[in-house]
Amino acid sequence: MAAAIGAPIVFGDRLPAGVVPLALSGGQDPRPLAGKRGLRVLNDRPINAETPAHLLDDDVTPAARLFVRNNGHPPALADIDVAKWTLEVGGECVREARTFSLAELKERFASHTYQLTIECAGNGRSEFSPPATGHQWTTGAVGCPRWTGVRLRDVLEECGVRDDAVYVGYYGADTHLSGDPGKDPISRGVPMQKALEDETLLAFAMNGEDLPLLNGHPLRLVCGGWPASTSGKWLQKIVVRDRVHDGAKMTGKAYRVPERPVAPGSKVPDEDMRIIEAMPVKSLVTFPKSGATLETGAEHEVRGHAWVGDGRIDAVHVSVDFGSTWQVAAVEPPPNRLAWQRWRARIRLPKDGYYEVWARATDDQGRSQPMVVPGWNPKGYLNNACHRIAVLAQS
Amino acid sequence: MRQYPWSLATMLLAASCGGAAGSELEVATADEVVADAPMDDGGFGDLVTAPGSELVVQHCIACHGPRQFLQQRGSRDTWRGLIRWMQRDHGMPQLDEAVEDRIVDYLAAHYAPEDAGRRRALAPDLMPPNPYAPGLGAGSTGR
Repeated sequence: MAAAIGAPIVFGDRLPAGVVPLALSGGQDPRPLAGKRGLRVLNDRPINAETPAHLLDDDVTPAARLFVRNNGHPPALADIDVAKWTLEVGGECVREARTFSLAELKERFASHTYQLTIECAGNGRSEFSPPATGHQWTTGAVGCPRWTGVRLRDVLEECGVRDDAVYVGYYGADTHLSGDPGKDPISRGVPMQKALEDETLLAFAMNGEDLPLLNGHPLRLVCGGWPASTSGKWLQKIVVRDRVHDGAKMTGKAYRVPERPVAPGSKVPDEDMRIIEAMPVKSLVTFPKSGATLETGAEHEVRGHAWVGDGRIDAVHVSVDFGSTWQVAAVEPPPNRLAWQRWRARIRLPKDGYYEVWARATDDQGRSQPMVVPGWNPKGYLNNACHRIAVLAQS
Repeated sequence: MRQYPWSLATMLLAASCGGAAGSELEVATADEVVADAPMDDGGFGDLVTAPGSELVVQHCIACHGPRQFLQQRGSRDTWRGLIRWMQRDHGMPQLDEAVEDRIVDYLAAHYAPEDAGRRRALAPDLMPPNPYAPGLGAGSTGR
């Protein structure tokens, strides 16, 4: 190996077994995207992949189409013994620390199923200028599967929560990229109010089947509408804190934006950054596929989804003339709170040529999507600029 | 511009995936076949071979894959800042000062930011055929 590149790879012993460094590729699993189809791989170590917009057309996102976002390495499937999997509940503000087996969780608490949108806070990062560091997501780090699990609230109530509880934090079985077992790749969480919502689940199933390994099998937190990083995967421990949780990726600049707007390229001190909570209003055009050729003058359906962190979508508008005129799309109600909403419109392209279809959603507080990239921030979060697809009209 | 042989990675992965006939990875409709190649380059291209790239290979791919930085752009400050961040939070060892300078110089030279304004044109892979594509005769459909 060393001969091949002329020098040893520093810390080459950190490379997972089976990885061929010169290939500059590979991972812990020879099929790193097992169970996924059509995703674009942003990084193979750790594995990160997003879904092209036209493959997100389903009302309920299939497991094969849900994006993959990792800060560390997922546990290997062979190392997960579902029968022995436990969830520990602890922290300063739990009256009685408890450990539940997965079977106990399912038996002791009522199961609930909700369709919940999860979106990476960095979805759209690739559009910021000056560029932000981190994975350069375009539009595909979002999805809305149907999750089944028990309410975090029910489990916390069983353990007892002190009145001074502020935040819930999670710990999972994923491992740090350095291989250091003393480091957590990520340990984030949500304030108590979000933790205690009906829809905040300890989920063990997606779309009626076990969670996919890459999406947190066998147990994960799901906090719909908030940065997906709050929905901890491969969940092993929940802590109820008397302060804002201070686990990995909770502090510094991670998953934070400036507390006031800043000019592009600004250097913002950590103390002026605030934690991202609900995600902003956003939409996707999932049909037709960008790049399609459509018949000039004919009527064509365009459709997609719209969502907003904690609220509801009131309207979606569509333009085929670069924002000069807008038409109203039909918007369906969500199947439940925190699920994305289907929108549809019929368009006509009046003469041959190049068109872009722009979609712009507006939420129940009157907030809508900007046409250009919104406020720059050091880590490139929360880009909810309108989605655009391009089509050719041909007679 | 010479580049590292990524095709080797593709070949190795193709070999390791080859036995998985009938797996999810094999199930793809015709329009997905290209996007479904699990180890395409993600659109980020190959590591540019130039002075300093040998140090990047040596020091920067033990913990994470090269796409972690191939997809990013940054000034010398940005790249050095990332090294400091990895050293502070993620267990990266100190580098010899001259080595670090050469790595930072290499990354800033070959992965430099460009001003993209407030909104770029759509990516080439999202574009329809262009009847007026440069280099094509009048009346061509572009594909």
